[in-house]
Amino acid sequence: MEISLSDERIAELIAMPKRVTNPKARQVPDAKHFKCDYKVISVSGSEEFTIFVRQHSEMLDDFTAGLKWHANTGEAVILMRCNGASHPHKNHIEGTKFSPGHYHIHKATERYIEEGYDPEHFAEVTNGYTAIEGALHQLCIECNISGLDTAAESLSLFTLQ
Amino acid sequence: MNIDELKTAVCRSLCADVQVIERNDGYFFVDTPFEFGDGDHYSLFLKFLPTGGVRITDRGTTFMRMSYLNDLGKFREGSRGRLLEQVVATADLQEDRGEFFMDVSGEELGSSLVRFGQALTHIHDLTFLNKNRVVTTFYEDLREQVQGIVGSDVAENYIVPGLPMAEAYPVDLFVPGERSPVYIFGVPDQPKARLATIIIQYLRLHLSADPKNRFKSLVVFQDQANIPHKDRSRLINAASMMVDTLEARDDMRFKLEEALH
Repeated sequence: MEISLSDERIAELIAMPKRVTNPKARQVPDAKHFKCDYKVISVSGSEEFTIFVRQHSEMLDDFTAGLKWHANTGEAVILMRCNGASHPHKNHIEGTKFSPGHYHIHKATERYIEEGYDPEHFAEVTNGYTAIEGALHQLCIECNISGLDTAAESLSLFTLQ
Repeated sequence: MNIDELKTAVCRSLCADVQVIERNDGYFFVDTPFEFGDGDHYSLFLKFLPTGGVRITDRGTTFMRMSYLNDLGKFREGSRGRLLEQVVATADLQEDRGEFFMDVSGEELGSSLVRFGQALTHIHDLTFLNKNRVVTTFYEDLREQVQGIVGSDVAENYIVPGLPMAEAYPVDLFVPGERSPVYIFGVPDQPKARLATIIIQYLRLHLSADPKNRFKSLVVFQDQANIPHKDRSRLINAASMMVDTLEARDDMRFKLEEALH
């Protein structure tokens, strides 16, 4: 990552009101997963983001709903990712680890950027969702995103083959 | 500690770092010390094969992860596609629609798991090649392609004679022509798109007034879709000719030959 981000700037980017500009974006199959990307802009119009939604085509617990910010340098930075529970995770700086079966939320932090890890390395276990629909809903709530008709754990966003 | 005790300690430590967890879909998840840069462990799965032996597979999760920040199409074509093919061939992997796997006997399982993990690392590392090796490969491929069309009469990093501050405005490839020379610019990324725009506009400003200094400029994108719209628009307006990827060999040949003869 070429740009540096402070925790204050990350918090500002996550908290600023945003809206989805293509709420009718359709899911498409790609490799062994389904994907759907939504364009997002800040209400002020100054910042651009993308919500990326991925659901594995066979494993229901393998998914992510994330928000990436497009810096004016052309670089994209993942600010938050609401992940499935298919894999273990380890927070290297804190030394904490959790095993498969734990849904978790990755968040960008200044300390991991400074240590050379992926910005969104840090993750915490959540009980806020157990499926992709709930993960997308949680992402929209936590990142102050409007314009998407989401609901916690309701209608299936992806139809598995 | 003697060598036997050392062996026992190493084996015990390695085993402690590996866990096999049964899933409810016929696969076993293998937790290993292999990790991505975001702290998530590699998704390695085992499945018993009906013919005997075991399949080690990522079930397509590596590509899914790479899709968060990348269009997967770029790993299937051009320089990255060739590098991916090399990784797959070297590690003796098989691929099915983005799922990487290898079928092995039970005795080979340990060493194969390590080899499989290494291969996934190499595949995932292709995402870091945007600004380094792939760019280098792109310029090499561009030069070879142009030489394949016009012969060896190609100058790299050409400094235009008589141009004020010429060393600050180099041309990637210079091809002399019967009517006028062609200045070729490779554009792998946004910064280079902006630089190429500046150089072409500078050359036009200082050279176009004199008929004997006239030239044509050809821009070759590594992947036009990766260049932001405004940067692409400025470059399109500045350059005489464009080719949208190195894969468009016939179009590059047509444009070069038309400009040179």
